[in-house]
Amino acid sequence: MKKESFIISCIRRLREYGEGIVLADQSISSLKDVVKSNVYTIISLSQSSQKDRREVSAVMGLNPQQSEVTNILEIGEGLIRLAGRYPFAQLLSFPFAKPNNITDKELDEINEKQELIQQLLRKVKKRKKQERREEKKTSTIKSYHKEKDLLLDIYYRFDVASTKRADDLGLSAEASNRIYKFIEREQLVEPILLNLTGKRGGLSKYHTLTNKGIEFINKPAIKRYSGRIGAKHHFLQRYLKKYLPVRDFKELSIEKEFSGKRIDLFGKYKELKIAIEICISTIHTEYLNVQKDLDKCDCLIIACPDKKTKEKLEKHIYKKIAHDHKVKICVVHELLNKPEALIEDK
Amino acid sequence: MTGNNLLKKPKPNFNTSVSSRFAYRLFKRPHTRQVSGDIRIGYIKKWSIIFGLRKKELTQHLLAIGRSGAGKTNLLRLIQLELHRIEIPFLAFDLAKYGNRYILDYIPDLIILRWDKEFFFNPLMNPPGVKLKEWLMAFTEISTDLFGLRTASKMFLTEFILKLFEKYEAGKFATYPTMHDLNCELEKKLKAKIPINERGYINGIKSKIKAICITLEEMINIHEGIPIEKLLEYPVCIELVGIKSSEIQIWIISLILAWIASYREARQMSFGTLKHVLIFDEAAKLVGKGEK
Repeated sequence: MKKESFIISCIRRLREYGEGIVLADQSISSLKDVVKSNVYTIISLSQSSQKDRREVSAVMGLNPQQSEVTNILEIGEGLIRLAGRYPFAQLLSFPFAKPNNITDKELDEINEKQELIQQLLRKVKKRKKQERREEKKTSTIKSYHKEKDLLLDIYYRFDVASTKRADDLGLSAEASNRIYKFIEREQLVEPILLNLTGKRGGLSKYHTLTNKGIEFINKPAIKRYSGRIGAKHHFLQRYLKKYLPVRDFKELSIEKEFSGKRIDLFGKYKELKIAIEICISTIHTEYLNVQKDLDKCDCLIIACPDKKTKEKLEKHIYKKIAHDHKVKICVVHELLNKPEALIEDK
Repeated sequence: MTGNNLLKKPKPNFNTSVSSRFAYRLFKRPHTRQVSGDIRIGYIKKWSIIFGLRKKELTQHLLAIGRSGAGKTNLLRLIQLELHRIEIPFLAFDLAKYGNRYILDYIPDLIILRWDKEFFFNPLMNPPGVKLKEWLMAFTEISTDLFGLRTASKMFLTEFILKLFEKYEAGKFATYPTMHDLNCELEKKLKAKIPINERGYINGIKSKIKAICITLEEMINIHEGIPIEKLLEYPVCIELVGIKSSEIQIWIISLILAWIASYREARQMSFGTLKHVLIFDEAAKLVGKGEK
């Protein structure tokens, strides 16, 4: 059984409480049958559609000749039929109530002067401005609460992958996804994709804070040793500096300067001076670094973010310079996991 | 010029065409007493008989049908003038075009309330004498029906509003939560960790409530609106012209209709005495076959 709409049931109930309803529409066929069958008075003005004329004739009980009238009615003429008192259709003319135009401005003035409207308006209890402000304030703070937490975590623990970070902060996959999307879209962070473990399973996503992101959490800027390097380069410098000491590297310093030439990362490994250059996209010019750095260290390691870059670099570099056992080209995870294999390999 | 004069001296604006003149022959001549009534809406030109409706008959409703430009708005205007003459208050709605404000010259005490200026309505406030929970059921029924939300959404919506009522102690004190409060509550809920299926339902409700809040802004951002029970004592027109979403227009009208129905039901029956008339142009939006 089809459920009766709430409005129809309201209209049905209102009759008993002295509420009259006047309905008007262009097409009778678009109305529900229950409406057509439940009205006492039906007035049909001029109809143009065949379907509507047929339906009007049926509802009003017109004979074929009377039905013809439905589409020749002039403006202001119509047929009326009552359900009880006079149950026959009748042709009526309606007087014309000439409308008088009133603009919005005029209506403003009229309503301002009308005491009754002013009285009614005085009864309206609006929401207090303070209430609205407080709500706005709390909603802004609350809406960025988790985002800020995440950004602060990135600030203090730059070296943690995004999934682990979300886990540590107790965020659900959906929530973390939404927050990461938000901070990336708002350019508060720059995403970096890297495989730093060398294991299978694809790339992990890390994030570095942009200047906008640092401003957002109101923290001092992170020291950038050179203004020209990209986010990935900067991230790898910091990452290697943090994790290479675990592999017996000592005295590591970023952007170590030797008579005007800076080395991305410089340190010592078992008394050997090690220079590390990070190659992200400078494949064509990396050989210049090699030439300049070689005399300053015992071993030069060029760390690439992935295998593809490494292969490209090898191809390019050995076109320009001869093979040298002091120069090692590797992927970052090789340096992080087995530096001894690299350095001691003759 | 009053509505009374209009019917006494009909202006010869209608040059009855040949076909129309012939048409009068097809209809029987009624006896004057058969068609006389308090609400005089037209006249049978051939026999100079005024056709009127009795007050009691209007409680059984009236339907006017006609193509655009056939004179529907004029007919509604006439009915309003006649109702005013016999001192029956009415409530009309303007949805697509202004029509009712143009009779302000005929009915100087007509109250015209524009949705963005003078009309304030809190759908979460129950009519006087109606239980809060009863009204809540009517509200959720209309909102979920109209916006095509599922039964589960109705349950969640009811739960949210009940929480809000508790927070505002709506039954005890005369402060009611607003639709904006409801929107905030839904937003808060969505920020929390909730099961994915629940999130789907709440999202569905929130999108509709938010659309209402954004569209109607100040009209519903109030704890207490204009007392509708007061409006039922005067000739009133509520102008909803400018609300581009007909779904939201119908939502407001349906709630007002339900509000009036609940308010009347909480009072004594009138047994057919006409107290008030509701006038709806574009009725198909409200009671049409396509209505959800």
